[in-house]
Amino acid sequence: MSERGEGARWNRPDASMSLLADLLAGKGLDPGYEEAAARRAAGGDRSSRTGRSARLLAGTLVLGLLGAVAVVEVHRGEPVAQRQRRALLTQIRQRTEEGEALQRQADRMRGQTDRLRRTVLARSAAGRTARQEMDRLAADAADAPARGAGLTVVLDDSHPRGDPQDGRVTDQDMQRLVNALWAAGATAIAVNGQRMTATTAIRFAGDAILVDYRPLSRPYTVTALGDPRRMDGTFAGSPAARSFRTLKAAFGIRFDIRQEDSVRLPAAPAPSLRYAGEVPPK
Amino acid sequence: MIALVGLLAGIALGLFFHPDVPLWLQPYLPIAIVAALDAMFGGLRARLDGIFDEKVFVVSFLSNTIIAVLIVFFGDQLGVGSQLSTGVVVVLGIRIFSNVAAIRRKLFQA
Repeated sequence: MSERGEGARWNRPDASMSLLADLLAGKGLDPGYEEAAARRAAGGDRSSRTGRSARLLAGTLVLGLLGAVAVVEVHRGEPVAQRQRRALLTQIRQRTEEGEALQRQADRMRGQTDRLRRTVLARSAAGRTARQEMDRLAADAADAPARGAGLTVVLDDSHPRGDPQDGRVTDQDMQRLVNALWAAGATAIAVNGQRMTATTAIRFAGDAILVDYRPLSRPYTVTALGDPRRMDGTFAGSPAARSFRTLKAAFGIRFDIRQEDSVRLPAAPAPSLRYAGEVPPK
Repeated sequence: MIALVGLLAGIALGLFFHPDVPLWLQPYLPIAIVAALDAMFGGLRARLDGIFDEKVFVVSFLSNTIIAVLIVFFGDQLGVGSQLSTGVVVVLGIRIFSNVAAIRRKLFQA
């Protein structure tokens, strides 16, 4: 051991924590090398040439192996992730198709049941009365597609340069609009092609307006069935329409009313029926 | 020369045999590589300085790699694994840069 090297190192009180100072001073080299060189100079080279070569070979061998394995691992891992992603996408698409096929089948069967019911009901006078009653109720419950003259109202966010929260159409705006249209005498209403029933909820989740828990995409088109001229007059005078006009002037949201000769509204999805049951006595 | 032969042989072995890295070791492989690179450039610089020593090289290589992996392992156990591996990479990266800069000065006198 060289006295000088040892002394110089241990004189420094922060020798054990001087990593960053050493780095900044450009002394990046492992101090072991200097020590070994000093040792060699002092005591001569004790280890044999072959021993040194073997050590060097072993060290560099491990180093190369490590590098190669890492590269191979990274390359092997990447396609696995991609494969899994693709498999998931395929699965999603497949399941969606399955769901749609089942939905189509259910619709077809419902139509079939409807037709069968009608033929059965048509056989008796009581049945025919029941059928008329049923049609009336189906129209009220939005259980059948509807068409006729009506009104379309288009709402959309404005595109302000400043706060994006300004000029946003919210669920409350949508609720007010739909309620005002009912009040103006609409017999059926659809929002972006989704029929409103007595139990349809209009809500806000995150950034999207949900109708029956399904998000709407902009612009929002509200279609109302009814006498266009009378409805337009009543609606235009309603507080909701006034506030929309104010919002249009202040924030630049889109608010257009159009009278239509013929609009088609789809049937609402069949409501899931809930049955009351007897509570078992305790 | 021997070093180059060993390096190439190691790379060839790794590419041919595709050794399976156990799953628990996989996250630490990149850190081990960075530590190994640090040792390699340290050795290269020492060689150019004329003070290269095989024993120091092998021991510093092995201990650096193992310690880097251990630090990250403890970090993982403590829930700060990613921060600690960033720390290790930064420290070793600085050292690699300074060693490579020294090698460059030596080789190109610039």
